[in-house]
Amino acid sequence: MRIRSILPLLPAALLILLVSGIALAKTILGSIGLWSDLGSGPGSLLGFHMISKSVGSALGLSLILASVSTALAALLGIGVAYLIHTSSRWSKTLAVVIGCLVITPHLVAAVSFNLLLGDAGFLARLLHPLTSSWPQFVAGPLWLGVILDFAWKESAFIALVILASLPREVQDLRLLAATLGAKPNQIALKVLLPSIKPALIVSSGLAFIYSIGSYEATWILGRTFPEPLANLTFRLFSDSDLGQRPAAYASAVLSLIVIACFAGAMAFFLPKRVNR
Amino acid sequence: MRRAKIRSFTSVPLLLLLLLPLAPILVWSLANRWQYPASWPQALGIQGWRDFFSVGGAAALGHSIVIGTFVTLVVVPLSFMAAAAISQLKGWYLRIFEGTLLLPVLIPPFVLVIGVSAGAVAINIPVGVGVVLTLSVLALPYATYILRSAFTSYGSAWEEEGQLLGASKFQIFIRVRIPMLQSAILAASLVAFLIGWSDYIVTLTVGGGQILSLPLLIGASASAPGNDSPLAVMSFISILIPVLIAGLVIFLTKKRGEVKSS
Repeated sequence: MRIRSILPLLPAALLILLVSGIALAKTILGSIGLWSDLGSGPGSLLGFHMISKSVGSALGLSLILASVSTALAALLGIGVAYLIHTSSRWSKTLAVVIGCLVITPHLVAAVSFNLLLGDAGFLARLLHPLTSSWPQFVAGPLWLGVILDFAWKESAFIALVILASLPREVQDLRLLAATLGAKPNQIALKVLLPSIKPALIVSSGLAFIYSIGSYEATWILGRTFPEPLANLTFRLFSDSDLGQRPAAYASAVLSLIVIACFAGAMAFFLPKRVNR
Repeated sequence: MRRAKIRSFTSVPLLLLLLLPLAPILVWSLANRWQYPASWPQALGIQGWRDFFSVGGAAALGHSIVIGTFVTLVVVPLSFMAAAAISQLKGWYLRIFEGTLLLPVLIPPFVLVIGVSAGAVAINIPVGVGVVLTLSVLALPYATYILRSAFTSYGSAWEEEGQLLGASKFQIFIRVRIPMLQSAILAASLVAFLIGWSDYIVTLTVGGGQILSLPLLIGASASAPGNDSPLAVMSFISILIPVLIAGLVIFLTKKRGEVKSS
């Protein structure tokens, strides 16, 4: 009975295990020299030695970009979800707009931020009469273009997940709290925030993981040095010198370790009701 | 009353802030000439659209539609079966399969592609198949999640009614289950299509440069200066097509809702 009931699951599970399994095996074995692109050879940690000088800055940069942009996206996402949920006059329009933002491809989002914030971009042109020098949003030392792009794109995703997960009784609880004399900020902190906590943790966690693994936005809007972990990995992998491949696999393994640690922490902090 | 006014006043700037990054795409897609630092294009026109077609935009658009369609065709049946089964599971079986479905979400796309592209070369699978299968793996968790939620809230009462009336299993599947889950199937199809449609890194790496999709054309145009107008046109089309499909999905879902309620 059990085997019959899991049979329909197997095609999807096997496809995932096959593709992910090949990818993980190639990456992990490649990083320790056991599945080399230059033929099989003895295992070594050469890849990790090769990236030892650049990986610290790459990892630090990736973590900072992901943390700051996820925090901003969460704040913006909560705000948008709140305005839609509380049925303001504009809530339907807001809902349509965040739907459009969610389906906007990440690469296109990066291109539009480049056209908006670049040195000769839309805003620089509009505000040219008012300002003599335009801040370096794109390819600048503070990576502001990347952070704003991630925050903008992920805020829509976070808002959508929060709205989809809000239980129906929240509206009643809000009204009850208001009838009992609770102030708006008390209702937000004691009624709404606990209701959205699991969805907020999961959606922000996924946004963080996405930001760590994202390549397109940091490539278009960021600097070439220092480079985030995803860009370092992809550059090393795309190098015409196949001798760089072990370094690419080692860098990829480090990304996997960071994400695994983060996912573990996320699962730990999820309320027990969700984290079965 | 005062609070409602405050919410309206907050909503409008927020709405403009969310829409602002899309504004340059619209303006640049209709700008024939726009020299810095002019605040507005010196000449409006459709030169960007002509450039888009002259650099192979139509073929790239076609390739993206084909990739999105194939990913949808692979993902929807697999996720439908998986969601139906997973909604019945409990305990360790459930955890194991949930963990398996989460794998593609936790593995960054660039890790997936560098492993798959090297592995695909080793086992010699055609690049198109490699691209579609890798993208299907990325889409499966989301599509299964959508369908699983629908299966969880889907009662078996209608199916039992059908059985009582003598319908076969196939008839129940076609005439009860599929229509009842139509909205979720459409939503899962949209998500699968979007993942295939918007992908850059899988098509570039696993495809080995042999498949020129719209995102690849955008990537190539973005890395060279002076392409702002055709780049804006490509970006505009990249947003327009999914918005139209999403609109169609919403329309079909609403229409079905009206038929059900009447």
